[in-house]
Amino acid sequence: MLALLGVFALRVLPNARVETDIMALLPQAQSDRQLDPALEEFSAELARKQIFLIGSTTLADASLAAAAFANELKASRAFTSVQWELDTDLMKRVAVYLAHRGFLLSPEDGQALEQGATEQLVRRALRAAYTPTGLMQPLGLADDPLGFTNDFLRATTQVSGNARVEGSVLAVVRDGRTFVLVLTESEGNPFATATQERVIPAIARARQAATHATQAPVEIAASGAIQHASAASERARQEVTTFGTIESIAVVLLLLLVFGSMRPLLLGLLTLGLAITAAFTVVHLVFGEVHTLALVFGSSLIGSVIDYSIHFFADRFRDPLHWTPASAVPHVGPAILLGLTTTLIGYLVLVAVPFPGLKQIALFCMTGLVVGCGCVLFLYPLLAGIRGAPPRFGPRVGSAIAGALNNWHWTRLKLVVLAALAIAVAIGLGRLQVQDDVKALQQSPPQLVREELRVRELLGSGIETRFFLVSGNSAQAVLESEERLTLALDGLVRKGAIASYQAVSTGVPSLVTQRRNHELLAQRVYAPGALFEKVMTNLGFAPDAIERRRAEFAAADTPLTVDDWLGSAASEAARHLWLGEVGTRYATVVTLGGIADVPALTALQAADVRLIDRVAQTTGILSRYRYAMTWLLAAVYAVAGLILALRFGWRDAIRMLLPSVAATLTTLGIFGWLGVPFNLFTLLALWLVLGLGIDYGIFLRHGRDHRMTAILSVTLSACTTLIAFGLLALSATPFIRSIGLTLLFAITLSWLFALLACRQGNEVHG
Amino acid sequence: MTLRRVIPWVVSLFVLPCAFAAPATDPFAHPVTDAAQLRATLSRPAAKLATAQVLKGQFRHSRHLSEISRPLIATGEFIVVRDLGVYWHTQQPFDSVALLSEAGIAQSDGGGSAMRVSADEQPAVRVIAKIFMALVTLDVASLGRDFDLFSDTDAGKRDGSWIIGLKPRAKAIAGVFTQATVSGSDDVEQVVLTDTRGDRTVIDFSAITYSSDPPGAEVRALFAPLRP
Repeated sequence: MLALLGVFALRVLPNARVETDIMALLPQAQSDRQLDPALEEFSAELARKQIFLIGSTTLADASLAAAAFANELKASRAFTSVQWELDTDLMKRVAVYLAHRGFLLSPEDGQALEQGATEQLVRRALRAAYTPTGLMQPLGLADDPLGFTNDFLRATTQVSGNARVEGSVLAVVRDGRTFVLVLTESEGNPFATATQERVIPAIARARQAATHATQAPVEIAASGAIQHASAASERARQEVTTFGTIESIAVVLLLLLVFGSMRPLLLGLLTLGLAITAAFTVVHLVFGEVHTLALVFGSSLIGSVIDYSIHFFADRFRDPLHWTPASAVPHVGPAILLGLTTTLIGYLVLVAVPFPGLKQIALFCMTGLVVGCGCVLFLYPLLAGIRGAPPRFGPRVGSAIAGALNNWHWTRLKLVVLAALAIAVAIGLGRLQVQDDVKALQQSPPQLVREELRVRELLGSGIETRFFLVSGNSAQAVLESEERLTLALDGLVRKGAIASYQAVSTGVPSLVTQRRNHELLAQRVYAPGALFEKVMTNLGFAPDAIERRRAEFAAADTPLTVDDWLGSAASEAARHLWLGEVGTRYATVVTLGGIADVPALTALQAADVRLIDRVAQTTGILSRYRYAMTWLLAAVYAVAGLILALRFGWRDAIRMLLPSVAATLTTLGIFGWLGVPFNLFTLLALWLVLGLGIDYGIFLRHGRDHRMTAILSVTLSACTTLIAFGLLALSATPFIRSIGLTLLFAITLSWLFALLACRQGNEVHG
Repeated sequence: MTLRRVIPWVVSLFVLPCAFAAPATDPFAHPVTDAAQLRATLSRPAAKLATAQVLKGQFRHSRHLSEISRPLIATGEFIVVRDLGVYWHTQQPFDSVALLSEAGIAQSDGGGSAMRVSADEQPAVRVIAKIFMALVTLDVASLGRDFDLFSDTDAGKRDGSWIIGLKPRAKAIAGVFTQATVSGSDDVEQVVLTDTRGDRTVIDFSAITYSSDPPGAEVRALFAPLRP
């Protein structure tokens, strides 16, 4: 015990890591595990990005505010990149394309050359020469007379929704205001507290700076994962503190009231402290971190461990005058051990399930329970001596309840009511809605959600969570697969199924395509007497000017490689899509914008092309596990029943199980009527009910010779558990709230049914 | 006569003709410091443009490239409609219509189908369309935001002709042309754009008519291809 404490203090506490991301609880996607690290990296990178829109009445004011904002962010050193002013040196940006222009054609031009439709190319060149539209091309007439390079550059321009180039910034004009776009990437894991503590205050300071930069009113809208993560962990911290405090005070008061002395309370706290410390240490040693959910369930240890303490001390009421701690052990020991065993079986099953989070929870609770039980059975006999008479409050309550139960008779009316209730529950079960959607499990503060919607509204496109993952045996194989995909995506864009897409192959075509382009240019454009010579002569260029350009084309005979492209300024916007070498294969991502037709996208999947939809995948996983665990729950009830039957015989065993089962079903029925959705976390709570409910049954059955103490013990246990979970039902986080509500109803009903069930048994025995 | 007495005569013979020849003014020698003076210089064309909704006229678009001995010349007619854009109908050497507006450009040849380029695909389109409109309608306020203005306001008073110089402030516009001049007397007569290579585009306007009535149905129909 002390050793564990020592380990905790020295190794765990300094490096304690608490994880608040619910996605970290879930197992990884099953298929293609090799690419998962690359996908994780891509998702992680997306999570590090933020979008800010700084708006004011005029572009000048908005620019001032944006400049102040950006400078403050840069000064904080918490960001790897802060972009708001465009690097408008076009030549520098496209230098790499110019160096290999003999190999680069836009898809439309490639097709036109292949089909021999040179007429339109000639007209295009003439229009550029003779009308002002020629001024609008990136490259002038002398640099690109036929416009092939200009058209390629047009094809590679990334469209950022509604944002347009205004001077040297990207801006959106809406509702009479101009918003300047600031794109940032923060440094470090957005879900780690250390990162949040650097980034969030920097953003707050930047907002202040922006508001004060100009007299005009400034509106700022932000989008980015880190703000939601920070809000979630802040709220979790607050709740753990608030709930923990209230729970502790309530439990303390209750115990004082019943036992009248501080010793049970102090010993109970000691046990709890040791149990939680041990649990935290073991989990941290095994997993390297502790998830918030494990801590939340850990707070349920307050209920279970205190249960054992209470049971031990309630035994005192059996014989108040001659009670010694040592004498209690043979009376309550077996019951406690049996209770522990059944609860452990329940958690043991969770360990076997490949959800890393559930394993944590199971390990945490199992360790805590074992240590707690150990304390009760070994420490208490030594430390728990109490002098004096215990207060009358406890026995009075116990006797009152025992009396009420004695007067309870199963009259016909009561049976009819019970039947009616059973039917109502059945109907409720039928109305129960299953809610596996992972988005419903986390809820951000309304201010953040409003700003996200505002950003989406202003930019005209949201951050789509679906994207294509293209893989292959070599970089070129990947590019070729991607080109086939983008051809199909072009069709979807024309049909309106998607608004846009971003792919690496737009900027760096596959070598196969590049060589084809080069051949087309050599044969149909630059060959003597071909297109180039015709147009240039028409325009009036001297033969040596034509020859010079032809020689330049012939001299530039190397295609553009992926590495060249990645290292250049041209790939800035799309570089992150190239995942490169992942294990033994290569992969790249094609992101989508404005998705309107999902089945059309799914239809494009092929051997090396997968549509990744994280949200749907996770929802699918939650759904599958919920299904599996429902059956597991039934199985565990069966196993527990078997063990109890071995100890107590079939009739009693059923009587001990029935309250839990009935409570579970009734709770679900009530949820059906109230419209509370059923999800994996509700199920998780029901696992807990399994353990606690059976404990009540066992304690009542075991203590049937001393009814009053047994009843008091069970009632007290139920109260402490309810205090612990009643508060969870008030949490702002939906998945924690589900757990709280479930336990609130289920524990109350378990207690009620356990009492009603044991009453009958007692009658038989007299 | 001694040589000494001849010299002043000789010198004055050389100097005087120079004094009488109109000095070749560099349009970029005098930055505009007083907006009111500039407005005064441009008062005549500005008066006509202030109330005009529709401008029509003829143009002569010449491209002077250093590598080509003869300039590339196109002629045709144009219509500028406030809030709609510019209708540019080239008639020589081939028939082609270009529609410019802030939303994008649309081009069609010989009455064939229009090819549209949205301003989102090519941000330069929006910039050029805006500047073109501002140049032709002498929207000094708008020009002043994006350009440093130069004007020899004194020269304007002498024979009624004026010339203003513009140098772009933002790098985005500087990529299209490094400097521009607009000149004329009663109307805007010439716009000269010089690009980074030193090649010039000269657009001469003539036969300009102004109408303060909103554009009629046939004029609106001309801009139809621009509408999505």
